[in-house]
Amino acid sequence: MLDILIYLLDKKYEAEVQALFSGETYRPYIAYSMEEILEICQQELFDLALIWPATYDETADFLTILNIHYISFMPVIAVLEDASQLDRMLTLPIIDYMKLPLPREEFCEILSNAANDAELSSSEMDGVTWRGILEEYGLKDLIQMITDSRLDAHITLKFKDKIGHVFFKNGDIIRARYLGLTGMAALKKLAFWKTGNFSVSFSPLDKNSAGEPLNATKAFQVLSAHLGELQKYLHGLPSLDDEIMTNPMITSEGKEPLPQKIVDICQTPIRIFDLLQLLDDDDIAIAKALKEMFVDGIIGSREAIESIIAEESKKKSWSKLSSTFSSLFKKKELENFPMETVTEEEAEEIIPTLKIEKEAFSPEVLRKIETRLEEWYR
Amino acid sequence: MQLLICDSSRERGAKVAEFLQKAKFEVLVCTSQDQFLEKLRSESPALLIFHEAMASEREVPSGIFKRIPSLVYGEEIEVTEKLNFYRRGARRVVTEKLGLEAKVAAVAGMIAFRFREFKKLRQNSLTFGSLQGTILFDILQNAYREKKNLVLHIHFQNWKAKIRTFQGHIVSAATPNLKGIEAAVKALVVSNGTFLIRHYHKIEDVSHLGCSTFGILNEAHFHRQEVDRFLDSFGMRNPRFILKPGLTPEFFDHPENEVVEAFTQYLNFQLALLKTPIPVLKTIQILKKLCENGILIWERNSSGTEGITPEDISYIYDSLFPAERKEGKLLILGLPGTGKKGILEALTTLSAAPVKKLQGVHFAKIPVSLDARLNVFSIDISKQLQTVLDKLSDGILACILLIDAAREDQFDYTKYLFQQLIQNYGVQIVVGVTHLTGSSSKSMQDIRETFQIPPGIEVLAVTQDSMENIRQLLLGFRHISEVSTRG
Repeated sequence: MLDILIYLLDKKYEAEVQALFSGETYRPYIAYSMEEILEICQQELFDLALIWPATYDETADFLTILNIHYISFMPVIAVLEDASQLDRMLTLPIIDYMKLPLPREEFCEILSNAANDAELSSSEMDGVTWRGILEEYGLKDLIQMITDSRLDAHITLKFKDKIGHVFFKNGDIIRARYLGLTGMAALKKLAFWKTGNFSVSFSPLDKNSAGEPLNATKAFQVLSAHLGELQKYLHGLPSLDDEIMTNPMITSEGKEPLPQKIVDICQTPIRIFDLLQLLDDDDIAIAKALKEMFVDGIIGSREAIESIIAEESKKKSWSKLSSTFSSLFKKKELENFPMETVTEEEAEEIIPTLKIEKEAFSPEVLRKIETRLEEWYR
Repeated sequence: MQLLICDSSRERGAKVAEFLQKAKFEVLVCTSQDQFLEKLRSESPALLIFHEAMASEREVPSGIFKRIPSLVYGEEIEVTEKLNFYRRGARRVVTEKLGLEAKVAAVAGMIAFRFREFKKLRQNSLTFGSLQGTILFDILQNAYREKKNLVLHIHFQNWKAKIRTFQGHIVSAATPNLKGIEAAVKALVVSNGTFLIRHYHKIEDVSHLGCSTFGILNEAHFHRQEVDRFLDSFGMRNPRFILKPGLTPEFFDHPENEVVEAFTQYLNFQLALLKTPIPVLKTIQILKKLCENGILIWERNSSGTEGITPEDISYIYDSLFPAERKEGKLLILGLPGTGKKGILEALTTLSAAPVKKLQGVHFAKIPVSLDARLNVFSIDISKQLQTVLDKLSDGILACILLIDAAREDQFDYTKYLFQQLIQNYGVQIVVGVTHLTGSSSKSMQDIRETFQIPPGIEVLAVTQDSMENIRQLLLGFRHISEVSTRG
């Protein structure tokens, strides 16, 4: 049973495609436009995508769009009507091609081989039980699931070159570490990761791994509270993916250790998320300090700081510059990052809705029941 | 990435190699079968590229196409011949009258991309794993709590199921033959295989199921218990059945014929259970009835149990040897009198390999394919074992641990040994339990709990020197594509 997306560029093939994919082996979905493709790809997981009939340009566009929308993990096969396109086609990141006309059996073999090869099997697990992306499963989810399983487990979280570890014994957390942090401090840091990868391996821990168990349910509650609190402090700052940097025009001597560290690190542009991960201080303390430094104009968004530097560098007098810069900067910051853009009253909340089809017997079943009951009464 | 070209025409092979070298591949070329076999022994190519003339069944050892991704090319290959190559496991057959060499190199690049960069991309973009214990239940419970929209694909060999949740509720499910609740339950009964998850965004959805998520999970749990109860009556996870002599599946009406066909066709019990186009509970009920009426016979009870077959050896090879490995060790560990030597001798019957003894360890070298060899060691559990294990530790692929259920005085040490094996060696392990009846009061579940054996490890009751039991132990090693290294 293969879920196949067919991007049909010429309707003359429609009947052929439908006939080819009839039966239980395939579950085809035919899309006629890129809009349809994107809509269905947001909601489905396809084993394969076919572009039919494929030209070099349209296939290249298709692959680009998939890439832009983070769906480039979908295996694409080009079905060619014009064989002269093949040489160029093979320069694109497709996983196979077919030249029409093609015997049905060969078509099916190529399709099945491509789907099998693209499938992620356990042999690619590198010794772990499951792995994935933190956008889909964060540390909180993983803790919840391992707690339910009551097993020994080891979670590894990776983001760029950063690695964190959490160990479980019978579903309870016994150890966590990230950078120089351990225990709850490490968990708090790791729970905030929204991007990166995780892997979980279920295997009995050796005797040396023993530690004081931390009730996972309690840890879960602490982490939930911490993340809620952190969100409050981050509110009003640029998005976590935005780059920030230190304002070079403001001297930063005599600061507390944490603000000083932030100033030093932000000498070169850095994303807020990266900054939080780089420092082993508490995220809430970092967010708090960062917010104050934004208000004071010591730190700003990369865009704002660079434009101010460019503007100011045109002016000849440095003394004049330094006296006016701070206020200029503050003004820019306030313009760029309003603390509230939409009030809660204004925001329209869209609540996802699940409709449940009513169960009902078909007339045929009802007739059968009636007959059975009659027989039974007799 | 190393590619091996096999072409009797030196000139043509060199041309293909030239194109591939330009694309930065490391290329080896051979022009005869002898050279090919030699290269196969000494190198570890990631892709084999054959000219059709060198790809015949006579020239290429059986199973090579399936084990190493292979491409076959020729100026003109008949459709029937192409299909034959595909059925033997070739990933791609390329025909071209003009510019064949360039085309072959380009297609080889595409296949290499499929296995290398594309796989990596998928690994980094999707959430996936191997099914162990109740992981699917945990995933669905988490989805319910966190109101997640998920598409879940569940794979076991060529079988696939799909479950969709919206706001944490299961809203649809499908297997190749079933839909709705029955499909969801069947998918949740799968205990081996893999899963793939993707989150999706949607504002509104319609549920086609008349049952809550927890209702389905409970139903699946009940079905799992029924399957376990049925299997417990055989004392093994993978009983095999044969049809009463003189009968054929066509003799039965639907759905009995489906059950008979699946359970006599597939060696793996779980696969047979999944392949039947009927719900799990009904399948088990029919199976029970067929066994009670003597229509399906548990193979152990049938007369004339056969010895180790070439298929068994081939299974061992496929199950234990990663693609690049040519040699590895299988350890059989147990107290004296647990039947270790019987297993070792059974494994040597086909090749007639001699069993040797050195410092109290019996061992034999068994060819498992044309170019691969399994060194089997039968070792007593004793105080000297750790020293022996240290000496043998390199290249262990798997281990059979035999537990004597009647020797409770040895449980502590055996348990320690078992945990050491899991932690230090990270290899596939199958546990056989001897003397389970008679002098022992232990049940299989007791053994599992006492030794803290994780759910993914097969534990089988074995009778000494039973050929069928030996086969069941070997079948306990899962296929290499399903295995995640434990440890």
